[in-house]
Amino acid sequence: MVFQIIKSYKHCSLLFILFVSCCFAFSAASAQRVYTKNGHIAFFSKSPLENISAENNEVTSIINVPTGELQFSVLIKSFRFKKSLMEEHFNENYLESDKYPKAVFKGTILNITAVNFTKDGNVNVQVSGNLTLHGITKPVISSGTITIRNGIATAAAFFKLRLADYNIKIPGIVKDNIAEQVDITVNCIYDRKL
Amino acid sequence: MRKKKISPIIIALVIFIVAAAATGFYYFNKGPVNISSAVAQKISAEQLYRSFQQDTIQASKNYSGKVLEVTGLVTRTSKNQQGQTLIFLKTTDNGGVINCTMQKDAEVLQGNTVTLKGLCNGIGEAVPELGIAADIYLSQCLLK
Repeated sequence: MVFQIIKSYKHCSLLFILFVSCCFAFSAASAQRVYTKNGHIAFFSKSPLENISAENNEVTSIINVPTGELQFSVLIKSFRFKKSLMEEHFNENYLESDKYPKAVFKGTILNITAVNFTKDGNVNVQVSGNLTLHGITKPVISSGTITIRNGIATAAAFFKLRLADYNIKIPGIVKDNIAEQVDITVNCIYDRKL
Repeated sequence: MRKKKISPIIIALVIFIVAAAATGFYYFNKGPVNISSAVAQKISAEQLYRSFQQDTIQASKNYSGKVLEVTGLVTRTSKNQQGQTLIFLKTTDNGGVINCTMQKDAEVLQGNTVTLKGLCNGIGEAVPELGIAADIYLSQCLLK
């Protein structure tokens, strides 16, 4: 009898330990969201007449670590150009930033399980999602890298974007100054955690 | 032989064309907005944030793309990925700040009240389900 009680007690304590560790694992996973509100996105347009580049250091981006969900939000007015006229045309004529103030990407890191956020390393990732720009939403697939250094993740990606896909019209007079496809470079350091 | 006189109309036309081309060239190559000489609207950090919370569309019309002079309490300072100084000003919101990127390094202490002049880019993205509040962005800021 006493032996049986001890045995069942053992079972109970084992179950209890299992339960507690599950709780811990769950809470650790659910707390793992990393984000930045000052990430970096740049674009570059190469044409025979002129190279145009702009940078944005006010990107909000969040990675939901357990699920691999990824989000970027960019204020169009935060892109800085070398010339103010370019900035003006970009905002007023091409991207109509008063009407469409933000560009948003919502997607998933398909191979998130390959990334260990607690160990230093560098992993190639595949990202798939939807980009909403200039009021138009289109699927985007891109590869990128996630680098972990001292527990801080950095995401880097490079992809090309066709302006016509987002109904961004370039007038004939400056057609030769702006590329049909522009290069987008993403570099975000996720130095904040939730 | 009499020298042919150049008509004053032609001279005026040439002057006009040269002036127009010079003006065009100047505007085409003009650098970014000069914040220090720009006329700015004065507003407190809290009032600016409240305006965006109450009516984002109207606040965007009033403030986005404009040079503002914002006064507020420094909650935190940091550096962005390019090494530029960031100053965060307290708002009425729990979490949302005025996110200011400085033109030059600035020695500012947490808890100080400062006035910054910079270009307002609008309000960023909030993710309420994750408890992330939106920031209002000011760039190319100068300390007054």
